[in-house]
Amino acid sequence: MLAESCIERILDQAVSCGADYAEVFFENVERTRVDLVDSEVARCACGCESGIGIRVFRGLESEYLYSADVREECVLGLIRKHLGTGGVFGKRTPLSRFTPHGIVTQGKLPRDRKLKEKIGHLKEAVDAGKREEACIVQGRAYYVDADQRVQIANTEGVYAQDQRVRSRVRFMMTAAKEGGAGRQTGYIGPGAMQGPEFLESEEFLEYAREAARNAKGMLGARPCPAGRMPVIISNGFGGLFFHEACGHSLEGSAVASGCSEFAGRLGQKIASEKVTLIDDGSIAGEWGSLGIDDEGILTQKNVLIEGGVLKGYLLDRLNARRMGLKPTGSSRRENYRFAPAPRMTNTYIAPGPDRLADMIGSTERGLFVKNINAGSVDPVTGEFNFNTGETYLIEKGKITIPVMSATLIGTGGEILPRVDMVSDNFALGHGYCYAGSGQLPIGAGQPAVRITEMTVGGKEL
Amino acid sequence: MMTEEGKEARRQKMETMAAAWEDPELTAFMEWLGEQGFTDIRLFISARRLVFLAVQCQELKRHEYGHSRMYIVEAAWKGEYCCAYASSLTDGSRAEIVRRLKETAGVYINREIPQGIAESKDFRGQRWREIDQEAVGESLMCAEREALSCEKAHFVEMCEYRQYEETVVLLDGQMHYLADDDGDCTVTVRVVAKDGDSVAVATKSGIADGGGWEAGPRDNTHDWHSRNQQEEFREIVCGLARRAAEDARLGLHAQRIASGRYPIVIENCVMAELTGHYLPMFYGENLMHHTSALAGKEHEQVGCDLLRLEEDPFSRKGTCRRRIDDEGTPVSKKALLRNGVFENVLYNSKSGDKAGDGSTGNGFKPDVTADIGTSATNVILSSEAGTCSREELLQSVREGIYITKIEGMFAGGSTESGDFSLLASGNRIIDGKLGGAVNQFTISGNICELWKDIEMIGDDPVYRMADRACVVSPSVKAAGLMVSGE
Repeated sequence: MLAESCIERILDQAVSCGADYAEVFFENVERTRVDLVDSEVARCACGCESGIGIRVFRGLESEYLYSADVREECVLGLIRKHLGTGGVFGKRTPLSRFTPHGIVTQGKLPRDRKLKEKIGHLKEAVDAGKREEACIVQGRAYYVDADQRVQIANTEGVYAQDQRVRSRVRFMMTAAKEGGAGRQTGYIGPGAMQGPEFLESEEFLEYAREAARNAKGMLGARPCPAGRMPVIISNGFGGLFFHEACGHSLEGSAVASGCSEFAGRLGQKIASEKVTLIDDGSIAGEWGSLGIDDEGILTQKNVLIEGGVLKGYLLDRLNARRMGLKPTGSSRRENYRFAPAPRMTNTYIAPGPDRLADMIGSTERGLFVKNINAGSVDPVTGEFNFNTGETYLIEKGKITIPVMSATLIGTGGEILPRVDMVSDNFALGHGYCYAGSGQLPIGAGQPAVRITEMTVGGKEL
Repeated sequence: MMTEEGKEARRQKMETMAAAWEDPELTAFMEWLGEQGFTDIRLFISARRLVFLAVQCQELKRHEYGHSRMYIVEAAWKGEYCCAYASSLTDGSRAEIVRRLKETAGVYINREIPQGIAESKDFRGQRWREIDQEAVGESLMCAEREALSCEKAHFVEMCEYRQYEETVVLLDGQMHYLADDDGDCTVTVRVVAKDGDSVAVATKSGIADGGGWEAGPRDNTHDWHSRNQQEEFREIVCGLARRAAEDARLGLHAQRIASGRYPIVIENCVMAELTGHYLPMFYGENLMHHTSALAGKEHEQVGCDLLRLEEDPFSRKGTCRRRIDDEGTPVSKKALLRNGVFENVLYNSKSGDKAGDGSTGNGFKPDVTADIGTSATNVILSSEAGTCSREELLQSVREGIYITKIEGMFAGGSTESGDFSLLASGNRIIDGKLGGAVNQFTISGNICELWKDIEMIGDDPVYRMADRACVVSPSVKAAGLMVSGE
């Protein structure tokens, strides 16, 4: 980590260019990645990376510099060359340390376990998954852990350090019919703000088994029928639906420029009264959490939609400045090479009063989506799309046959008012979000939710 | 005690990696690793630089500059392959590299020990140019004004310039070296059109020749500050802005479309994106593991007779300029599909040795710290027998859809089966002419079936990046595709 005096000199150099705000972000991260195919390590990457990012504001304009060379002389030289020195010397409040939320639930760090021990756990899990169902022809595990330490300081006197320890695995179990035909792959991707305890937990083997059961469940899946129909999205990572359908459209980058479909609509009803959407980066132990955001602001629970009414946006310092509002502890970046931007952390729909059995029982014909693979959205138009994983047809109030992955499309403005049932079986899933400030770990969750009608894309009419 | 000039010179040398193999710090590091007990040492160094400018509402809103570096060490420890990376060679990083090297030794089964470099060679040919930030910003603002002067243009959400350079150096224990570089500068303009309640968006991006980039040796006549260079750059950016504004206008008042099977014309950028997503089907490891829809179909007809898909690292139509892959193997031109027949597989060293064919110069890292995978340089889709104009493509369709945008490729396209199901938008084609905009529908199909159904290939190639590869494709007309709408 950098010495505090060094950070102070860097800030002083940055504001000497005439900026009214300057910020330093330093990180050091140790990371392990293992890609296991059946019992063999296909790929492995282990190492450490550090770097520094300096950002300045001049009114509503921002400039960002970054470097892997963190030696003071090089950083100061970079600032002099690209930001200049000829402006009015900006003000700087003396640095004052504060403590982030303690959100890492662990006793150990990733480096406290040898790589071969971790690989041993992964092999055990893949084997467990393959034994779970006879039709599994290949088991794959993609594992990553990281110990990221950051220092953040700015000219408003903020000085904080944070440590983010994360572990995640993605199991991919491929099932095939006899003769190897009709392959289907089941995916599960749990993660946590934890060290090696994650691999050693009782649930770890069960994740692989669940991926195997998912794969088997999809064998014999028929092409998904296309058209407009009710869709029930199951709990857990089904929450990615709302992450895409409205979450990105509530991030400050889209809202502040007026480009989001929800810009300028605070206080208006934008969803059914069953919908309460929350983003909370302060939940201890969760994959998408962080003790402070990447601008040094404490993370917090942000209620974005309450009973269908738009209550707030996710804002970083710059967009909060643009909108005359307060930042919400939502500023994130993949690493020092990115300027931070307002992004989601753990985003979820609050539990409701309904029951999943009633949702299914009252659906004449529709889809039951057990999990979602991925999706994307255009925040300007609100158009989103998802690709589903394990999916079933609902016919006459019962789950019947598995169907191949479908594409769900719509716009946030169209779909949010069509949520007519929200169940009580909440769960939080884990994944990654890819946007302007890089790839980020995120949580996405919900209880089961029914949407009265949406467009389903498939090969059959 | 180093002078300020000396410090600045060292900083610049670090940024540009002028002659890494002469750097005493690197030589000392390699020797030190040997002293720790490692043998057969090979070092992969990647140095990257980036400049980014963004304009909005006639102001320079964002300016970014950065450089980063990564050292990836491969070696043998007690006869076993090992690897580790770090972003610097400080004492702390060195200790971490050694820890990780020892930790990874023995985790691979039958992984080959790194080979030495037979002959040192420098393949670098790019020249980073320092841009005039004010002039680039002015050109972007001019483009923004140009877009907003177009009918129904409401807002320019994105008007950006990005210049990127990567230098890679491979070193062995005897300081033999291979060096190469790559990079480009691109401009992206995204325009929002509005008419009443209807909103539509269109994005155009292109290579900013005449920007801060120059392929080939430095030539004193190529001066960014010259009037010609600046005018050329401005023309490119303004042209992109006008086309984005026009496409956005054409997308207004989009209607739903009835589900069914329609003849389609796929716009060049969409076809480039589709093709790029399915390049992994040609990778050796995917074919061997049967995770490619082309597994078992080598030398079979998988596309129409008209279809050619070729990797050409030397083509100026694409943006890739690499001459060696990340393993140091020379890249090469090769046909992937010729007359629709699956001709060549892409291999890195590991998959090539397993297949008995050797590397085809396609061993690239998906990201700098990752292990070697497979990728391509410039991949070009073209016609074996003549091309058509876009008007001719449209005129051949009585009732169909012109697809101008797709979303959801990341999860909606399976390289294992070749299937895809994607959100799409575009325009109706009615009696050979472009009709009203249509959106909120999906297209579903299979890439191999689509390749077989291609009936006409256009003369309007554009490029799109697909991970490490650059895919160039014209517009195409295909017999039919399933559409799910109303």
